[in-house]
This record gives sequence, structure tokens and C-alpha cells, in this order.
Amino acid sequence: MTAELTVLALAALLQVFQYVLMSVPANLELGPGKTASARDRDRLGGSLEDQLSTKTARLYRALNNHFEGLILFTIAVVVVTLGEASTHFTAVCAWTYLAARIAYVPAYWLGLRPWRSLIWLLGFLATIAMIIASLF
Amino acid sequence: MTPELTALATLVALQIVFGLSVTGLISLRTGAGYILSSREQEVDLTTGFIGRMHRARINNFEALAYFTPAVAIVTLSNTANETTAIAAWVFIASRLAFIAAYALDLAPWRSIVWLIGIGAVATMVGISLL
Repeated sequence: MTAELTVLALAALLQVFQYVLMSVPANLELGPGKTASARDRDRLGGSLEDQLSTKTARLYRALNNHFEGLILFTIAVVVVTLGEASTHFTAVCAWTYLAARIAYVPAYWLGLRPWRSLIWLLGFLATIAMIIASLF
Repeated sequence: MTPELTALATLVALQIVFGLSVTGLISLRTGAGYILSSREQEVDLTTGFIGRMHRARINNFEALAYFTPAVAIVTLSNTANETTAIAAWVFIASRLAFIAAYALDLAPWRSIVWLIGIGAVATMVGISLL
């Protein structure tokens, strides 16, 4: 396993962890009667996410944001690995991405402004740096 | 083609066919004009069978976002084995069952089937790390 692939595996597990982190409070707040249903808005009395508490809704948005991060990071790891462009620099970028995505969750939960955005930017730039490095 | 890559190709094909079918369904409610427009108008996609299929399609995009790295990891790190192949196809089966459970409004089966799918992906990733 290269460092980049190890980080990708850990990032995928972070996504699983974020599901748990969000769905436990969401189920406690809304009850499985609502969450396990087909979520028809006319039967729920509105959108499910609007019925979450402020902090749980932040965890929900943090989860959704990592889907976007993961899509780009998967591309970065695949091009670096298959392009045989893996270097110490791309490995550091990959670990930076993971650290940023982990820090992003408490930053969102605590509502840290502008730190949440800066942490997001760090993860985004690390991903883009990997893709650019694979081109040279 | 390894079984995991075939499973990924199957999921992409499923999303193309299912995704376009959902667009067809939505056009029944909105008319083709809305589908071809820039969609500046709010259209209610939250209710009924069409709403459930709309949400199933969004969920399947998310499934692609975490199944793709799982397949890439086991393939590129040469950690694919019989268990990861079975897990990949369990995942594909869970996606078909998830769409069916949404269509038929089966609670709590939709959630249970989804959980089986994420468990299969976690198994693939876990094996690659060990």
C-alpha cells in the first residue's frame, strides 16, 4: 500500500465515521419512525434536515461536504498512483488532506468562523496540489 | 477485469439507466419543458413515488462517491481477494434492493439494506488496511 492509498482508505472510513456521528443524534432527535420512513415531505411535515437541531444539522452538512471532497481526492489518488507520480510531496499532501477533513468536522460542529472555511481550503489545495504534481 | 471493477462498471451503468429513468418520471410531473429549461422554477420533488425515486437517485450518487475509492484502493494496492469480490457484489445487490425498498416504501428495510451496503464497503476498505 502506498501512503496515498492508505490515506484514501482512512478517508473512506472517516466518511463511515461521519455517518455514525450524524445518524446517532439524528435518530435520537427525530426517531426511527421518521428516519427509516421513505421521507415523503407531506407525511413528515417538512424537510427532515430542517427538523434537526442546529448542531446535528451541522454534522449533516459536514457529512455532505465530505462527499464532494472525497470525489476529488479519489481522482487525485488514482492519478498519482496510476501515473506513478507518487513522491514524498504527494504523500504529505495526502496526509494534509486527511488532517484537514478530520479538523473540518469539529470546526463545523463548533461553528468556528472563518476556521471551517480555511480548513476546507487546506484540504482542497492539498488535493489540487496532488493532481498538478501528477502532471509534471 | 477483476470482479470489483466489474461491480463498479455495473454500478455506473445502473446509475445511467436508473438516473435517466428518474428524469423520465419527473418529466411526467413537470412536463418536458421543465427538464429542458434552466430549472429556475421550484418544482416539488418531495412527495409521492417520483419524490422517492428522486431521493434514491441522489443516494446512489453518494454510493458511487464511496464505492469508487473502495474499489480503487483494493485494486491498486493488490489487496483484492475473494472476500472483497463478494463484498463488492453484495454492495451492488444492496443498491438494487435499496431502490426497490424506496419504490415500495418499505420501512425499516430501506435503512437496513443501506446499512448492509455501507458495511460491505467498510469491509473492502478494512481488508486493504490490514
